[in-house]
Amino acid sequence: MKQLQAYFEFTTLKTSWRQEILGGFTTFISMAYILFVNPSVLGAAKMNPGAVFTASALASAFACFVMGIVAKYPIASAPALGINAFFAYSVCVGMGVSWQTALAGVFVASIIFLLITIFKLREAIINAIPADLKFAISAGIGMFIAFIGLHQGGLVAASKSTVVTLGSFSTPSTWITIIGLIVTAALMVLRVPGAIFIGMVIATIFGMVTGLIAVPTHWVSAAPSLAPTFGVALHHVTEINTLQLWVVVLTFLLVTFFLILPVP
Amino acid sequence: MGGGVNLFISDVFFDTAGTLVGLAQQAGYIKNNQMPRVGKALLADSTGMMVGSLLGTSPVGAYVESSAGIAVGGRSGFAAVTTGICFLLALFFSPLLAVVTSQVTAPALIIVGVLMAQNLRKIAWEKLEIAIPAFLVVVGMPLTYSIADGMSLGFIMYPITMLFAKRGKEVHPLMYGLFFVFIGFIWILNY
Repeated sequence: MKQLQAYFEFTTLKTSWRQEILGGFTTFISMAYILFVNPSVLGAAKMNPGAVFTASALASAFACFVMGIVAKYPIASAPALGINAFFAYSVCVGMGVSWQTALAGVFVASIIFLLITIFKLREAIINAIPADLKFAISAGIGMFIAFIGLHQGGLVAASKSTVVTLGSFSTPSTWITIIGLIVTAALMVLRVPGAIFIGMVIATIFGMVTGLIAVPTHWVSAAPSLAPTFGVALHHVTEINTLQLWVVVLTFLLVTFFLILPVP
Repeated sequence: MGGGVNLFISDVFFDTAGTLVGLAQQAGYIKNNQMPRVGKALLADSTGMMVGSLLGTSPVGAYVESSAGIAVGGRSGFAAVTTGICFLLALFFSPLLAVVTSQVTAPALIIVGVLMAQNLRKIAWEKLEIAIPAFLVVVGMPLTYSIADGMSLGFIMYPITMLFAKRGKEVHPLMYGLFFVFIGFIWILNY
């Protein structure tokens, strides 16, 4: 224990086990929504939701451990909202690329990303793109995922005459979104940690009470099998051989840059 | 992006582009505009992205939500380790997937969208050579239902408006390169 405390520099950082564990747990509660949102988003690309759930939890844990143990920062990572939307809606649904090939594209992009990180080319590339466009990309991705949310929640619907229109409030399931949105908004304004997660819990309870969501027979089980997605990226790497797919790889790189890169 | 750090210090919360720097600042790590061990921090995300692609998930990135943990006292890497352990424990709660429907996750998408849209105020709207390409990126993404298409529209327009504003020299050569890359991208999509 003493060695661990020394490794994580508890004395210098004026921190304690209690503070660290509470901090880590609070962060988890605040971002746990991604474990359920990601299978839903990647499900649009026909990926197996159970496998995506397990893969997302494992990849997040891995990145958190590297960040905590190697970089020693109290910063947690998980599959990013926005990039997953790009993966599912732009690449798979929009361009008609299979999720297997798209995953291979992410793998290739991650190798390039790793090299760029190691060779410190990051700043050069980041500096080339004007700040205004970086902010526009972040904001645009925000608009895009909000649009997806509004559509999935039933608040916005397609319309032949006006392209899009207000959704129907007589659809019962839309009320799950409305309740969830109001609760989450209120908790966000109050700056309650884990507001998004709590909002999801309350919306789910509302759905169960009203019978819109079936109550599960059990709450705990073994982790869903990774078999549908594990290693698929490697087997499809050779498919990254067209100009179109290289552009996909490049865009993965660019989008990832904007969402997660620090600007020193 | 000289002075980028200062830019982000003023907005620690919910800044996607500067997530790592913003969080490190909040935790008190940034001294003299330098983020120590930045390479190692980046390694976490790039290796996470690689591991994620092999397991079967989309790219991993640092979460601004870490600011909640820092706010309640998390300072060292052990806070991130704790979060990682929580993710492993979460593996056993997969039956919840069936009850968390897309109507339940929709508010998360909308609210995170709001947080990301806060970046809008940092755009120099008064300069049309900036405002036009930036606007095309912002509205292009939802209206074309594609992040890449939205980016293309803005990245193609940017060198054009900058040249006509006689600010062509301020445009980085890489941006002129991307101008052709994105024209090619749109061409391929329509081919």
